[in-house]
Amino acid sequence: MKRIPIVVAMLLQASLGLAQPATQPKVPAPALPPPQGAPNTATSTAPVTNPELAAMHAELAAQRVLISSLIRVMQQRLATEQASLDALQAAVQSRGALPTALPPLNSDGKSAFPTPATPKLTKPAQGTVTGTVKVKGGEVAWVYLADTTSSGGGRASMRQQGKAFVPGAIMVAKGARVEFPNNDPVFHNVFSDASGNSFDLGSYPQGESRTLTLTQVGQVDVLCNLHSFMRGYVFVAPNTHFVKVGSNGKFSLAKLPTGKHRIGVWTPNAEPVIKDVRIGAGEATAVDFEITAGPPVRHARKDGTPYGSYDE
Amino acid sequence: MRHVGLMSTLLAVAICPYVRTARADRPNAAPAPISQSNSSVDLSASEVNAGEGAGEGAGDGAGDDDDASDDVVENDATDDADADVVTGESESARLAMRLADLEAQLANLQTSTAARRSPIRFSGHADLGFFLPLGNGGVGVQRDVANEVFPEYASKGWLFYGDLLATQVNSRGEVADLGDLAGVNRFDSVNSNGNPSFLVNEVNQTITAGLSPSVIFTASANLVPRQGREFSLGDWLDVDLAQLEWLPGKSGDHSVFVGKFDSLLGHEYRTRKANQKFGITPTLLARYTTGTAIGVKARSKLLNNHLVLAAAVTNGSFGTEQFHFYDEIDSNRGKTLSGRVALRHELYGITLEVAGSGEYGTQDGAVRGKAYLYGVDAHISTIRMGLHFQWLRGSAPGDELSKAYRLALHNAAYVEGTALVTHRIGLLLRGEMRDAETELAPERVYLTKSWRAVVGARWVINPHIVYKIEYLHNGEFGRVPKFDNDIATTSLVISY
Repeated sequence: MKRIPIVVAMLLQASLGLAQPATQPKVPAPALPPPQGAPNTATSTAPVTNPELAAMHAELAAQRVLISSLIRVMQQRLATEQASLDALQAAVQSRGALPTALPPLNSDGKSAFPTPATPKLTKPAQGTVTGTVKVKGGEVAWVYLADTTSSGGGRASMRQQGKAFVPGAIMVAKGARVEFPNNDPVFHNVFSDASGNSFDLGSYPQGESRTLTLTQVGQVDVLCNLHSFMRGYVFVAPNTHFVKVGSNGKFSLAKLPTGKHRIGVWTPNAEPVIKDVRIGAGEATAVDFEITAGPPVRHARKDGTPYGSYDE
Repeated sequence: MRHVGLMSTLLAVAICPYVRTARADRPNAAPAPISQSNSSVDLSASEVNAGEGAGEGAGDGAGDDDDASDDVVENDATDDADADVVTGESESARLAMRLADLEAQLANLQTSTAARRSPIRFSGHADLGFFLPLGNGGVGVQRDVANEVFPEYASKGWLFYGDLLATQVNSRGEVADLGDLAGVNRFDSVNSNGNPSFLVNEVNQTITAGLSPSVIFTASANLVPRQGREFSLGDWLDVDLAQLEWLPGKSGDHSVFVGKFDSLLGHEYRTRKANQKFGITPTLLARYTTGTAIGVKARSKLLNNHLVLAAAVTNGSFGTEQFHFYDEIDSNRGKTLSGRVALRHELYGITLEVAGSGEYGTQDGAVRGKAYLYGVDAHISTIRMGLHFQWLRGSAPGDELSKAYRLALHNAAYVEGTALVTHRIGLLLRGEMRDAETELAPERVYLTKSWRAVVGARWVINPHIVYKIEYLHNGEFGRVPKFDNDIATTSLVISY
């Protein structure tokens, strides 16, 4: 408790050109109370004779507090952004332009100023989930990592062709931009009233396209306001870790982070089925799913009015 | 977050040179100015830590240092300083909170928007036309004077050959001119006297109200502006739909209609209105199948839409012409039963439909006597092309007392092909015929043995504006003398 004023005094003396042996202890600290708002970081034991010194002491003490906090923040950030740093490091190394490690903060090795954590250059441990999916009442299904959210983005396309959405179902990552080109010789008006992903692309003719970004995880029923029977499905996955189940019902979802995770399976018109799995590094974890798709739910026009039986 | 993390890394990297520089310069280096700028903070941080390090060797020991650190963390002023200067973490947290707040607002907005969606939809169209009659003053019939052509009808008062409704100019089936025929004083809605004319064919307003997800009320009214004369009001209001539709079940494949609803004979009724029709004019047999009637109708799509059944009980028939085959309000006890059975199949994007339909009941406008119609229709359609066929036959006994016409519809048929050349340009070709005898005994007979060739085109300017043009060549066959009564007509349909 007594050391900080001494240290500050020494620092200030050194700054002001007042030579003091670095090893000389017990430099009297200022007795004046710290300025208003300054952190009460020290208890003075010696009288202060220089008001300027006292003020600077207080300010430096305050700055020390702030810098300490800043360091803590940076350390936390560095820890949580390990994956990003890995990617950056890999990119830098591939170009051979920048050093592979951060420079040290101090050379004496005793400084309280913490050295920022050096990014780990090792590749994160990854594993694979394999298995089968039995789909009742449906034809296609996707398996995805359900418990990690990231804006993977990417692009996907669902065209209007033959008065139908082709492909009829896709899975995209959260934040993906989905394109809806019209290949039909008639106008279409693509819309959805899905919660969090509702949109209305308006009427547009053959040869034109509309694009939108889907941000809410879940199933998006893609509809046409002009043709009630047209219906497509987009499932917005929380990340880029997903794979379409093969026609034989098998899947292999690779490059997954290790540890305990939740793996989901989705097919149109079904609530995703989620299972907890533990993924080991370099291992293939087997898990099987069964999912049942319900019949398509009758939908309304974009303005909320229902379609009649003659509306097509 | 990635950017923030990288910024932190770069900040740490930026600090290090200053640390080394400060140490190298010490003890002669002057203290850096203290300010709130980031660079100054970085520099002062270096100095503070450097000073602390210098003092540490002369201090009381590590324990004191820990105490000092504890004091720093626990101090309220330190928290204030954190909030003021250490913007990285707080900014990140603030942005995260802001994002969560915005997402919540978005969810609320979407919920409230969905809740505010009105279950009532107003739509409609305006049909603006221009037509050019080519021959016979725009009239579709001629009088067989002195029964020169058909002497076997000498016992009748007047014989007219041709088709009174062949010179149609719009989707309503109105003709260019009804002519000034002997023995009748009809309301001639267009009455062009064979001259080209602009015409507001109709202005439609439709209201669709979703009373529940499975109950829909639809009302459609056509405003038809026409010139009044002889103290009669020309403009009229035609409410052609006023139906309540109930779709029981979740599939929407079954429906029950009550009120004034569309026909179920054939297929043409589905495109009877200007904003639905590929071309402009109806076929020669549309007068029997595209009207609306009052009653109850049920319709079911079965076997995954491969079988479609429809049946109705109505006051009268689904006609539109005014020869008293069609009367909206029943003037007799008998009702009209009608039905349609359709088979549908879709293969490689081609939809095939074959159907049989008919109706049977007391003739509209007549006190007694049964009328019937029956026929078949077939359709082949892709997204770009359509081929439609219908054949119809029927009879109505007529009633002299109630001035109801007798009808002998020997044959009526059409074949129509449509094609979308581009998404904006479409072409239409239609061939049709009608062989019928319509009589109001004993005073007048209309003898029809007509055929017609129609060629048309459409230009979709945008989804709301379509321009159409048609040429109708009316011909006669059998012993009926040929006469010119072609029609060229255009239509600008604005729908909303």
